[in-house]
Amino acid sequence: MNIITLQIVLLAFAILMVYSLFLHWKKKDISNNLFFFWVFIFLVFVFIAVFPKILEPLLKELFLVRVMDLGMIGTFMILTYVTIENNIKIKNLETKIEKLVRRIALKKK
Amino acid sequence: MKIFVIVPVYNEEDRAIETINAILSEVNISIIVIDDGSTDNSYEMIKDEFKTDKRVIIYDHVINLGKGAAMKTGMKIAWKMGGEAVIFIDADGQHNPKYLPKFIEELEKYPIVFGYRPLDKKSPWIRRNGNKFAGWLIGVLFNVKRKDLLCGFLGFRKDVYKKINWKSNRYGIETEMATRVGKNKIPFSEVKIDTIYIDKYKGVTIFDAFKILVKIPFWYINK
Repeated sequence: MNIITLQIVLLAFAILMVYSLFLHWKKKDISNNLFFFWVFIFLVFVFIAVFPKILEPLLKELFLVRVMDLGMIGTFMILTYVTIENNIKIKNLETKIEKLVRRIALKKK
Repeated sequence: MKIFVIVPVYNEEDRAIETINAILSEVNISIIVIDDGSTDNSYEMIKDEFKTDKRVIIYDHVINLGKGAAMKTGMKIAWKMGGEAVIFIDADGQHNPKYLPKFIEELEKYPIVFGYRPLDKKSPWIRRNGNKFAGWLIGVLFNVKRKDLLCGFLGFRKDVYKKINWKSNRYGIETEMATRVGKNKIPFSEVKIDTIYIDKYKGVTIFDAFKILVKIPFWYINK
């Protein structure tokens, strides 16, 4: 897979994600702020995918050879953060649901 | 001592009534049945069967939360009704209620009583060795020696509840409880019970065992 093919794949992925976000926004599943935030993130993603050379000064600073390496490190960091955040939110939701279900059970009698 | 037997039920329409009747034939104490959001007719059937029997108190969760949450709901109801101790027994009939008098007797002497199934060659290899390994690991990390870490037939008195209050909702409650017993150095007794494996697809699966293993370091950190 050469760089152009990879860029096409990344562009297609970004378009698909923005379309998915658009559908959720239309259904009012997500707020305007969240929609535009994610669109902005994907625009940055597309910009970097199309012009990867703009990151070269940063590569030298971080002693990395390829933009791909930087992309991988950045992706892992973001995914780890999102996973931790999701995990905490799910645990909180589980606790709230448990309390609610128990309260309903006790009130029924 | 006022003791309640708690039976968490989830999709056990075939066996729950039989189990409750077996308990009633062994001991004359109140039973709190918690239907944990069953998708079959367990709740309706139990309610219908025991509508005139005041010894059977039935509650239900509107959605399935897991065995640990059902146990906790049952326990809270027991404390609310003036209970001083609770004994948990599975609804699927894998715990023989004939041991209940022994549990009651032991609860007079010890704050916690665990059932244990002899881990002989009758039990499936994976369960036997998985249980042994988990028992060894918990023993090393939490300084508590248990003969059967995964047995859900257990009871405890209200005075130790806060020390063993578990957070696990699904499988792992028994293991978490054992870690808290070790941590708080709570004296306990073990009662030998029959080994009855009803359904090999129910109970703790290898995936549940893996999840329990992952949780052990967290319990250790929170020691």
